[in-house]
Amino acid sequence: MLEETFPQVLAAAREGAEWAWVRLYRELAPPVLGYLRARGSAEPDDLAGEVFLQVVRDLRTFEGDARDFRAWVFTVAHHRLVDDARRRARRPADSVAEVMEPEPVTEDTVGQVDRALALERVRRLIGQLAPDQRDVLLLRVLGGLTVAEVAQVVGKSTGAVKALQRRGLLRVKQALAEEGVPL
Amino acid sequence: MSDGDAYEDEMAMLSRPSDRDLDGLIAGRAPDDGGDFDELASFVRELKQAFDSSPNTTTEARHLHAIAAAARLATHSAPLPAPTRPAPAKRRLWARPLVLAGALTLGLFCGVAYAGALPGPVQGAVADVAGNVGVSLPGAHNDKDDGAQNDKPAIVPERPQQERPTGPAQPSGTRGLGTPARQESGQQVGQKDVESGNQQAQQQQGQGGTENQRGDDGTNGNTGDQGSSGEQGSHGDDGGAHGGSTQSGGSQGGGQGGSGDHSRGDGNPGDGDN
Repeated sequence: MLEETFPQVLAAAREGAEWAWVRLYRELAPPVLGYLRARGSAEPDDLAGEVFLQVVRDLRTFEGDARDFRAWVFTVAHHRLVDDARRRARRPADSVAEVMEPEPVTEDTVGQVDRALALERVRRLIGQLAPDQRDVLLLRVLGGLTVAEVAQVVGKSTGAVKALQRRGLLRVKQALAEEGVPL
Repeated sequence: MSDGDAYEDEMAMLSRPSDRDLDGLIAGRAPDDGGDFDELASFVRELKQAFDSSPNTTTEARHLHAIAAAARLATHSAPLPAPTRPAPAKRRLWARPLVLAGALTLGLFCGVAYAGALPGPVQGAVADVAGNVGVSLPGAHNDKDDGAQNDKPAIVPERPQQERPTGPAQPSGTRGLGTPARQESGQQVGQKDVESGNQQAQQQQGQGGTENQRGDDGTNGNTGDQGSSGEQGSHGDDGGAHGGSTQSGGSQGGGQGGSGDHSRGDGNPGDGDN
């Protein structure tokens, strides 16, 4: 786990050691990329790359342990996501063109279709949430952040995050009951 | 109770799961005593499985390459100094006295130029420049000339002799016949004319003088009177009447000729004596 060796990895990353950055990237890129995808980013891979580049540039300003570093990286990702959404809102034509790009077809077509259907269902259920509820649930589930860390990321109090989490989960439960089809 | 758009059995659902239960649900575990949340816990697991995926090899290689380059750049480059605000503040600090001194100098220069106290060429140049923008300032030479004229108002500059009516055109006896009262009257008229305006008198001098020269027989007195202003002619007429001379026309001519500067000659006691 990263928590145990985080001080050494962080010091090496500050010195520019490539292995340290590979370690940090492989530890945090999957949840960050998943959060960006779940939030509906048009280009999650590029956005994830921008997030880590900003982390590299601003690493000298960071102080804390592995949990703090994780929350900090997700804070950067959240802000990047908000900025990207605003930028694309001003250019709706570009975002539509990018969303309609077809994904590459692989040999495992059946499995891919199943995953695509499941992903579509999850997206539809998440889409029924309020934006704040969705952010809280995704940061909690995909980011693995605590309530306090999520509160730090989204800039709300822990009580507000708890309320959003509760209402979000109950809203998903209600939507599942309305569908009548278990996942 | 809740409104129609609220969740069904909202209060019951809110009171049921505790924070601990919610933390378990976030981790994909249903509460021990709640079978109603199995579907929700399953959804959370599906959510995590659907989106928690590593980037593909190509994307990861591209990202790591960019990260390594950025890390080298961030390591070898010195920290960028924050934009310092003291620099412009200092610049403003030492610029303020300069601006103040410049404004003060400009104001002083304008004041001196308005007073006409600048050196001659400078004053003239400034007056020309100011005149181009519609501001009238005293010029370098005009002031001196004007001042000289004002200093000696009773002296007629560059008065040719032919303008004086004391030639053969007007007998000296005519004036000599004038009483002191006439002389005083002529003097008063002459002074009044001087005060009334030199320019008009100068323009009429030639005409009046000519008429005076021609009016030696007295018949042209009216002509001389016409050459001058009527008021001046009446003074001359009065003077002639006081003088009791039949050559009052000539006196008129003399009086008219002196309506400007010439009357000064008539009114001059010295002229009368002559």
